[in-house]
Amino acid sequence: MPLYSFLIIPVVYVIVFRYIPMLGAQLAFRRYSILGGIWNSRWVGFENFEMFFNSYQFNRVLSNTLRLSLYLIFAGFPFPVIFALLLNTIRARRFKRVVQTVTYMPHFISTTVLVGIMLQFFNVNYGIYGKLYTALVGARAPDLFSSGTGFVNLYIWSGIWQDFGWGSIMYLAALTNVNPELHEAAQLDGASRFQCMLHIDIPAIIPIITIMLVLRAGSVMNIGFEKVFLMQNDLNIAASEVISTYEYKRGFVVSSGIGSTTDVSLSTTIGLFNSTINLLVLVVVNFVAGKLGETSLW
Amino acid sequence: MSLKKTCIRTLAVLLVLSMAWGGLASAQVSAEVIHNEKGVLPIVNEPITLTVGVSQNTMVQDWQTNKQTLYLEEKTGINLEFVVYPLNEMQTKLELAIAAGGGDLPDILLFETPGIRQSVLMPWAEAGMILPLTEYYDSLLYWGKETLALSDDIDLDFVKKYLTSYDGEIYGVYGITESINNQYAISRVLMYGPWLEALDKEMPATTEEFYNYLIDMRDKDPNGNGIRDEIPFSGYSGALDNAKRFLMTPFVYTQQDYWIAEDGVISSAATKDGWREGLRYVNKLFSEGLIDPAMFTQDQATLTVALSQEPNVIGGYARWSTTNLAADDADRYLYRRLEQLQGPDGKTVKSWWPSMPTIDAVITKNCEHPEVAFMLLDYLNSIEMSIITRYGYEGVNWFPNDEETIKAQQEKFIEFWQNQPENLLEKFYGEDALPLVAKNRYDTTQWGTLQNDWWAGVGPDSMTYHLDTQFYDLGNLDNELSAMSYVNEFIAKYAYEQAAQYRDISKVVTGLVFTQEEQEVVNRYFSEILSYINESWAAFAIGAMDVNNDGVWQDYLNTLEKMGIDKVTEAVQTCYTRMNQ
Repeated sequence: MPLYSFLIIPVVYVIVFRYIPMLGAQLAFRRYSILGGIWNSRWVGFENFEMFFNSYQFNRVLSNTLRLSLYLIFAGFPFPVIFALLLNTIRARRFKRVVQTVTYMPHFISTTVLVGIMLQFFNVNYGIYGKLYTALVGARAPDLFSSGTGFVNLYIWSGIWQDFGWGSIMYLAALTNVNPELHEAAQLDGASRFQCMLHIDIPAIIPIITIMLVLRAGSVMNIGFEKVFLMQNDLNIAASEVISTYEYKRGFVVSSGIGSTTDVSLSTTIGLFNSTINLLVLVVVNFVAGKLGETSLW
Repeated sequence: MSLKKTCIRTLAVLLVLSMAWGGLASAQVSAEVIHNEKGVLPIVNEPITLTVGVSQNTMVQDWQTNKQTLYLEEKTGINLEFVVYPLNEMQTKLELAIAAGGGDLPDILLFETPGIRQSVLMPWAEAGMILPLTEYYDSLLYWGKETLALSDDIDLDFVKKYLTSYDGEIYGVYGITESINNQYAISRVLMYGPWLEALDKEMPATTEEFYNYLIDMRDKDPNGNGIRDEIPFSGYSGALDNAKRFLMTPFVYTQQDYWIAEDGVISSAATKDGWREGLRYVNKLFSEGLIDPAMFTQDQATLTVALSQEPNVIGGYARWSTTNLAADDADRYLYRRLEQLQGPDGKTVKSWWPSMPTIDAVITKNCEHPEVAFMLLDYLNSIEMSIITRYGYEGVNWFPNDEETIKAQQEKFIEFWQNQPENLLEKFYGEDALPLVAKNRYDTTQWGTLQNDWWAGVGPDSMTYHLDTQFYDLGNLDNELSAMSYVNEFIAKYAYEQAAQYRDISKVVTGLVFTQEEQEVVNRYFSEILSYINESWAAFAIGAMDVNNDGVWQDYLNTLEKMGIDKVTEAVQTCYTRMNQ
């Protein structure tokens, strides 16, 4: 019983920083004014939602967000798994450690720095990419940052490059729990390394893969704000405006000319809409996962 | 238990009493006049204390012991007590204080350039948190007038016009930074001088000449390395507006946010036929490889790397000055300002953005002596205090030049200009033009370093044009001679007269003070419209959208209409008409 008291701090933390701020979501149904604040601004019903759904940007930000997110899940999810399985079959321990360290190092590069590196690396005139392309093809390289597809691919693959090593740690940990006797028995029966992986390792980490996938699905609409925002420009905006950047622009950015153009209520509305969809997706995916593989969150 | 209760009760009673006392005291004091005549120092004979809210500043060590603070206290007889808000959080903290009833607000709030926006301030004023100062402008203003006399463009009526809110009241004390250079820098484009010589070309003056010059740069190998690696024109995402204004203005007057006023009628340049004409021209330049499309994507650092290549490969770029290049890079002094091009209709329109007064200080409802506070803020706008706030103290932070130095510098200037391939000084400013040399010398590197002598431009100060041009960094003059912005300021007097014809404020849509309803319309619709215009401009320019296709153009116009551009135009029109009757 006294051990439960350890829970107090995390529970208080969650209440203070996760639940109480949720009260602010009511702004989605109000017209925010400084004096009224969260509690006393005027009620406007669903006006903000109508505004958002009818907005020119609605279809665009929704489809961009989904496209980026699904692409990232489908392209990005297998990499850490495959990498962990491969690393697990390596016998030279020192080599394994070195590879592991080298691959998860990029995870610690900050987003701002990463985008800065990418901008320089992929510059068509002076970047390594531009120089190599010109040297090999003889023509000027197409600017990847200026096209929608270029942006999407850069975003996804730089993300995969940065995080696959880090993401594999979880699976590697799960793989160390596999009983060595299973491997020994399989080898005695003449199984190849590949067959061992297929029939022993993969079944062993299926539950954790499922859990990770369900959790990942829960943030299907959460495309990190910073990186997209930093990579945006007037040319790729049609493919790069996502819900989080749009929310930020409506809520906080002040145009320098004819006046402030912030709309806190609309921004809250967008955030609330986003979170609701995330919750729904999480529940649905979890339900499906539970039906199919008997592994689910609750 | 009961002891604790008693304690709490006593405390509560004390609290109520003290509040009542405070209320009583303030009601009594504000009735009597405690200040001297306007224009007389000290402002008060018996010391009073005013609390002053400021943001933490990276250049000011300690507001309380700052030399300017002490000097001001000594001169005015007023004790200043500072409330310092964390860096970048002043507005948030103030709004929290206001939402809580405003009891915690200091007497005076000082803001950094460019001041506080009307749209932010008005809700505070409507809640009664900020005092209207309109009558003080008539009865108490003294020091500010003396400084305003040092400007040819800005007078008190101008200041009042753009400070007056839609309810007819003025809620703050103004500050002014009038810089001729900044007024023209918004559409500036710089061309690499040596290539003009290498190709034996005059500075292009029309859109057609500019096009031909870009082609020559692309094809005729001006850097002489035998490879066609020249990029005629470039830029970077942070100065995209410079390029946009420069390239579009020959076809349609392009300002910030793209509003145009024609005989009092407001419209958006982005919906005009001229906009389409301009886009056709820009698209032609892009499609023939004359403009670097990387200008949309690269940042300043990347462009600067590109500019520093040996041999030089970039013929010109859009930016307000060459200060992005290192001070010891010889190229920094070889770029020349390209004047605004003449359009196909034979007219030259120069993009100009006036220096506007800003609200740099307000007085809150907690102030018991608003007249005294106003006089103090007015005193900050005096010539003496304006200089201290921006440049520091004579003999410490800046030094007067003797006449010989000034004369020597003038001669150096004249010699420099005469040695240029074309003597611009003579060409633009007449044979007798005498360069204006700053009276005072100061060390430019002081701006930006942490110090405790002056207020680093925070709060009201009037840097009118005649005042500001008295200060220049002559120590570094030989190097800076041809760096555009500096030269431009040095000969500001002549540039100023020359440019007078362009300074027509009736063509510029700026300084609008919206009513709450207008503001709501703008907030709702405008940010999306603006980003759609920018995005489409880029798409038309590089050809992702076909500017010659009538259907595409019509779609673009229809989309703007659907997004509510008419509603915003109407709001801007109503506001503009109200302010300019």
